[in-house]
Amino acid sequence: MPSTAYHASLSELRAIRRQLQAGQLAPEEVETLIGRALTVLETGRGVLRRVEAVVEAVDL
Amino acid sequence: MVPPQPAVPPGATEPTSLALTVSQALALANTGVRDALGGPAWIRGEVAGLVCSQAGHLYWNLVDDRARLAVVAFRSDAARMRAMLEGAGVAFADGLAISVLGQLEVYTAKGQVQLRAAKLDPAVSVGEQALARRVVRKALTSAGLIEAQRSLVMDPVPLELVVVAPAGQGLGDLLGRLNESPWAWRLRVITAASEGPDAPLSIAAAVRAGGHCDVVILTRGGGAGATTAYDSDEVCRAVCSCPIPVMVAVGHTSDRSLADECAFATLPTPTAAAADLIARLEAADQALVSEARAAVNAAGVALSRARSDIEAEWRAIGATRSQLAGAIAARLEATEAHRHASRVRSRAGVALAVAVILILVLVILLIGAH
Repeated sequence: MPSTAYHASLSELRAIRRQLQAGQLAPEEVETLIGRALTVLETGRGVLRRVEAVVEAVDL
Repeated sequence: MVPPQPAVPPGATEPTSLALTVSQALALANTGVRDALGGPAWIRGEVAGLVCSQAGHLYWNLVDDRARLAVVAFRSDAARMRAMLEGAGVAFADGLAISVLGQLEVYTAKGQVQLRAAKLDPAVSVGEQALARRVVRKALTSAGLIEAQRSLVMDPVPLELVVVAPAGQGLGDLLGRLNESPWAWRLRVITAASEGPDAPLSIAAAVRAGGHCDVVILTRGGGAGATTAYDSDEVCRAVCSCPIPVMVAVGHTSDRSLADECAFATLPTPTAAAADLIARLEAADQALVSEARAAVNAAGVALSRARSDIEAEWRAIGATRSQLAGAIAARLEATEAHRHASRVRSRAGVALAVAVILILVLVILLIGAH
């Protein structure tokens, strides 16, 4: 489900942002989180974008 | 009953004993008027001078551009007529075009021809199609269905679409516009007749057959074809009962259809429906980017905070080092002074010892000399 994958990406990005905003983090932890955020962003945007169009015609 | 009157030749002098009373004359006239239309008849015109009596009777004139007819509707008939018009969403008031079924008669007390109204046809007032639409709307409202779609929430990522449309330009416009965009649509296109007697059932069946998706798009292109199917009870019930948001985009209709009123969202054309969906996907994509940007900003703040912490620690270490260096220097100085003193004391001791020895030697020598 593209929608589910999108929402999962958005939720994870929010969690990462909150984590970055909340606590005392070592620079290494910040680097790890940002790396993860970029991966999640890529995944989420990839879900929205077309690889190939899927059109199914139904004749009742 | 008035007795038959003898025929009087024109110009003849009539004995006054043969004259009719007013009541007799109007009674005769009434018979003629009542028979003139062969019983109750429909008469149409415009309402003028509407008055409601305290007893609930309605009085008005039915007028056209050349004539005026007094109309009376007694309380029970009047109440029924008002309810009928209100049900059709029309207020009974001056200026309203109506068609009234009633008995034409002579109101003898005033010597006036009047129509005793029994019922009216609201379709004349609101038009056949509008009336049918009002009836369907009222039924849907009573069933609590007309607002059903409004309570739904459309997924912010409406990628899975079911399109219900007749084959034609409108469908082509919708699909073309979607295909031009970069988004990963998954489309099921269900063709349905949009005109003709089968259209309402065809469209309703297609909407119900939509199955799982994010949004159902009920659409057709413009043109001169009738769009009455989109006002039908079948289509509107299918839209209202659909558990998935339905977007209605019936092109180039001058008026909103009832399906528009029932739908989750309504767009003027198939192209506009495609543009709306594309905008939703763009917003979803932007939400991801914004969230990632916020994370990067938060990372910047976190790093800057970490840097400040390190700098503060570094400054504290520097201060401690200075203190330590001072303490060590003082300690070294004290040690050196102590050593110096020890050396002085040691040398003094040696000198004293030598002196004592020398004195002893001297004493011994002196004793030996004596």
